[in-house]
Amino acid sequence: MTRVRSAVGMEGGGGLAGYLDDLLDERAPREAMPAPEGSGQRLEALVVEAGGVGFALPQAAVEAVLPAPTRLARPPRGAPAWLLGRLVRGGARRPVADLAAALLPRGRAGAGPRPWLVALAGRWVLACDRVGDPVALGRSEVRWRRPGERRPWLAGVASAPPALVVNPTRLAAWLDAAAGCGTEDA
Amino acid sequence: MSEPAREVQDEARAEEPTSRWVTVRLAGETYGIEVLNVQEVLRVPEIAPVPGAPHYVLGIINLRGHVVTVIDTRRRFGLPPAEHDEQTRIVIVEVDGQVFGMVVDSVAEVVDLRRSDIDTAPAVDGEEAAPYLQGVAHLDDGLLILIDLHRVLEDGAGGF
Repeated sequence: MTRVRSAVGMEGGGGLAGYLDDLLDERAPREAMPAPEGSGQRLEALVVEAGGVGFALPQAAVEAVLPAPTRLARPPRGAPAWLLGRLVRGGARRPVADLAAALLPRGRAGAGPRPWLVALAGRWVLACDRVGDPVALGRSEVRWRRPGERRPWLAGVASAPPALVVNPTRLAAWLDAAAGCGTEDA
Repeated sequence: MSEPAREVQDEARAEEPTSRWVTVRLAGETYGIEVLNVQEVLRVPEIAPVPGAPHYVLGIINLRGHVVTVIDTRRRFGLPPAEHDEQTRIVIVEVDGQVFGMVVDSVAEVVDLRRSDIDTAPAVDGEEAAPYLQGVAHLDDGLLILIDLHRVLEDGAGGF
């Protein structure tokens, strides 16, 4: 029997907060930025963990949470290593990205398996280690960030729970571009 | 066992087919639902009751435009009732082309089991849940009771 990973119970703290701070774009000002338009007073988010890092995904962008099957359809030839394969869901083949390997610096992501999948509205599916409970992030609890050339998917950094706040639209566009070949068929 | 024999046994185990299970908690016990059948896991939304449905059917939910029947798994298994709380989840499964939701106390983790990890004849005589079980696996911290979804769906019990 192989225990893959826990589904619930996010662990924060430690050196994580400092690491998350470092992920803020160097070219973006470090002072708190105003929340992006449309984020409302509180951002309902699902916090998932991958590679030891929390990612806050706006709840409105989350279509479904499901356990990862043992096998996925193969990714296209030449695809980046973080493109794990394709999940058949709702009659469509949707690309599955290893969230940590795709977004975190090399050496930080750790090895899989990523036993949980988060299907975003749209077509991307994100593989992660754990899925926490939904949280409501207050505007002041997130250090918002101007979109930058680096990590355009990073909308800000939340303090409690410590997590990278993801802009799902920019993430999808970034994954599309980074995956390069053949994701329409993926 | 000699070292060579142990190595052979380990190699044989490594080549065994594995199945993946999501573990859920019900009345203090850990149950497994095969991942192949799981479409998604969600928190409990508003459930509309269905008059005249079997006693274990809680009602229906609207899942992105699809109507899905939700069953009270505790009641189906003859377990004592419990209030829903923050940990309560609905596991949406598909079996034999039918999609339905199973309310569970919580969802825990994902485990991979080799065929040899599973005892196919659980000794649970007298348990009301027994007809719905397909086997038992031993985890480090207790038993994992594997649910036979086909039997949950069919009914000596009328179906839904």
